[in-house]
Amino acid sequence: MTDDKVIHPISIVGLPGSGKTTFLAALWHLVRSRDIQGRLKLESLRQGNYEHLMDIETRWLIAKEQERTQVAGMRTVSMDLLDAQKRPVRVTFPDVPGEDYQYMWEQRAIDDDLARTLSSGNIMLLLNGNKIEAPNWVYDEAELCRKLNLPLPQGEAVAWHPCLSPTQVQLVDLLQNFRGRPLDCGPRRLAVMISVWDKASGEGKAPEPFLAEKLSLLDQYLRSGKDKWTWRVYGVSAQGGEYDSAKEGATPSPQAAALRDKDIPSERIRLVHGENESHDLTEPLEWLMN
Amino acid sequence: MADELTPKSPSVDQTLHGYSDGHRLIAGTAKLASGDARSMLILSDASGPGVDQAVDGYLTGYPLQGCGKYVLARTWGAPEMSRPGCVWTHSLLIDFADLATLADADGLLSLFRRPDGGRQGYDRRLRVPSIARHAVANSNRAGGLLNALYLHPLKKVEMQVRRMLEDERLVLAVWFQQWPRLRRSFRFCTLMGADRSSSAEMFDLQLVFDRSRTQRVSIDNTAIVEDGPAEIELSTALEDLLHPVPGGLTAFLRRVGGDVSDGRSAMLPLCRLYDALNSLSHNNASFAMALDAFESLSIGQGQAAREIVFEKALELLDSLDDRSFNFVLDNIWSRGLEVDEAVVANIGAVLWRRSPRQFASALEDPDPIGRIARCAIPQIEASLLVNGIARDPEIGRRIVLRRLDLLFDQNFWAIPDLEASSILEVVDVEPSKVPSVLAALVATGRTDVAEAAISRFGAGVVLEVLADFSQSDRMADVGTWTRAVVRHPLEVATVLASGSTLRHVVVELSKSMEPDDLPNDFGDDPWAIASASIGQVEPADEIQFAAFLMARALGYRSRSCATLFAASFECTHKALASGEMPDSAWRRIERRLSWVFPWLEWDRCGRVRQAVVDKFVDLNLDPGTFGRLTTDGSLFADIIDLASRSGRGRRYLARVRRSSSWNTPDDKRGV
Repeated sequence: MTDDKVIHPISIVGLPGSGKTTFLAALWHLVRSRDIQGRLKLESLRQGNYEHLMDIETRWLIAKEQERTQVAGMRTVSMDLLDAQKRPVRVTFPDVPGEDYQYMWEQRAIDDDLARTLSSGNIMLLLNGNKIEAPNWVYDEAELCRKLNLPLPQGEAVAWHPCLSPTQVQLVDLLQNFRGRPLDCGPRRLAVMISVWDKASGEGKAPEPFLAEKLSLLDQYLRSGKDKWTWRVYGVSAQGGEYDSAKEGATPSPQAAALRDKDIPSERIRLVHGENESHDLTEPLEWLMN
Repeated sequence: MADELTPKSPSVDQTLHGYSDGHRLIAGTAKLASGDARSMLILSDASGPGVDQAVDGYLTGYPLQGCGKYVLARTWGAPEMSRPGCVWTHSLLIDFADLATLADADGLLSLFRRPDGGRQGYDRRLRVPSIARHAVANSNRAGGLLNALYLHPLKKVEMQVRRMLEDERLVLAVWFQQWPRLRRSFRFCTLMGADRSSSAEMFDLQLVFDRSRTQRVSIDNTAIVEDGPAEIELSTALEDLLHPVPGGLTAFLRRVGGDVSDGRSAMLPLCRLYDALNSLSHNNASFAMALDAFESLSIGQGQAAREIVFEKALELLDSLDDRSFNFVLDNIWSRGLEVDEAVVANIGAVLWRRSPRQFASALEDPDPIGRIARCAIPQIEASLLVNGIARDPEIGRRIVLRRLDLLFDQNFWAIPDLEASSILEVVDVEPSKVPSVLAALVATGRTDVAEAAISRFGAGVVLEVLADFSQSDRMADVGTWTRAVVRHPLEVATVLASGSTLRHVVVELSKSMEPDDLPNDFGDDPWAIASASIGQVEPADEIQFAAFLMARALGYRSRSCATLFAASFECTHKALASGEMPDSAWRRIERRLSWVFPWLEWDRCGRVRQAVVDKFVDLNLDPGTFGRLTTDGSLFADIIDLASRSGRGRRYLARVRRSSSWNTPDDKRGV
């Protein structure tokens, strides 16, 4: 019997701490448990470290902060899903540590394996809405020093390092790399996922306006259409709130307790697109697969 | 942090990795290419999810091939950081060359420092201090680890952590026991949560806290360490770990491992080799074991080991079996081993003793064995050469061409079945040395080469040598040699005509020849010249010789009859008169005398007198010589009387009287 599933490679891209592992844990729970109606359901795990997925799902369920993903090479998770018409599709996620994308920005280099993986399929770009490094204006720094009666450093050279660059500069460069050799495979779809949306939504903006305001460079880059991205912006909170710290002896979080008390864990998930909100993390997947 | 300025201790680069918006290089002294930087980034991160971080951290060791450095790193958990799973890793980057010089890891361990909030102190190279080595205590654990590593050299090895510090010491001791080439390729981690191997680079040894709990991280193709004694072949390695001694196994591995690239697979053969070499006495079997161990290394490996085995073989040269000796031959030059000429000669001598034929066959070969043979042959004692040739006489010719001194050795010529004639044809002997060669030949009693010797060297020198023999007591068959010489009458004539032949030689020749054998077509008769030869001979031989000369003079060949008569008449007559003339000698003369009635045959003296006078008168031989035929007045009167009985004779006598050599009144008496 031939395997006639359509394969949709989707790369989850994001800098360290952007929420990739949390997203994967929540997605895994969502498609496996089917505790809410989602657009895609799990048929089988095709490839991936089942124990690892169960581990991160367990931490997500008990509302405990995920451990960071080690820089230990790329793992691929491949799930066979059924769409609403029960058509089988296969979604593959290369589980890439954020450091690999950081490496692309700082070292201008990419591993061959990762290059092969990223040179096909659409992109889900995760960025931490609560940790956007905005550029500092020299004028503002000077004004602040003046108000605080602090001496303004004169003539002090600061060694520049790529890691000091603003978040959106790194992200735009990352996206531009996808449209150049060796990753270019033509125009793609891009789902920009602003994670930790539970914190970012406090600004009262929908995801797209949030992007335009906080990450204006990225927004302008996408709107210019120069690299022909077909893009959407989502706000996502895969955790739904603050989780307990993984550190020993840390004080439990009341929010985490509340999240654990939910009867339907998947209801922690918040996905916002425009004015619409749901718990279904498969919605951007379905769009990317289209 | 120790930073001693020890003149000879190496210095190392260092780096610090930690979390800062992602796990990254925080500080360091090394400038690395992207590939090496990437490797360090990965291996400086936590060794797997869910690993309980030890208080003192854990060690990871791995090479960076791009920059030629080995990284020894210690990783600590960083719970103070904002994200769980963050770590600090302090790495020491040791040049491969320096790694080879270090005796143990304790100096390196003393340099590790967990950052305490700042990144100061990681921006300069560190000097490795010299610190007393900690011993390995647990022999069962060590034995189990050695078994796993070296009995399963192609597998990853997994060991359960018991006591971090003790385990760390054991791992480091095993690591430093390895020869430098293996050491710098050995990958290990003293606390693992997930297999740290990649598709290209396998971790040799990883320690895990609890295998039963972490079955999910079990590694394929794995050998599990189980406590127990080391296998017998690794017992020396275990003893070396527990009780290291200078010059022990570690030093041996260091010496021989330089070009062994078989990795862990080479440990067993090298341990076997070490054990075999150590147990060597003059026991053939033990050396064979050493050779077995060496040959179990892959082809092309272990040049240093080869040299050690070769040196040992040289010590036991005479007692090696064929296989072991062939190892010496194969390796003396073909593998680039430089060997002292004296050693080469010794090897050649052994080769000669073992197989003279092989040795001789190799002499003309350009290969290493040929070089050995050519180098050795000048130095092998002649007696040994003779013994070897005696075993295989066919090789005598090839050997003697390179050892001409054998030609002077009568033992050489005495070898049965030696192709002496062909040897004489090809050897190039200095003229001054020919007599020595001939003397050796003749002394052996060999006569089969007489003709070959005469044709090669000439009858003259042969005659000289024969003369020497006839005056000595040596049991040489001079007669056969002389008979061979006289088969060359022209050469004999030349020799005799030289006038320098000693009398006894002349006399010997006359015994082997007929009076008319030598030609005298022109000039003086060689026998006449030789009749004046000097030297002492026995009186009987003088008589024989006188009879010979008399017979020649009475014959048809000689142009110097008068001289021959002068040399022989008085002696012959005297011998006949006294009855001392042997019958054989008389028969020579009698055949040339005129016929007489049988009742007159008894008067031999008279017949000789008559024949001599007739010859002088008939052939008008030199009158002066006639006058000097004898000093015996009575005899002289007899021959005068005989001559005067004819007119011709009287006229001859008148000429005798007038000859200048006969002028005294006494001379004229009776005429």
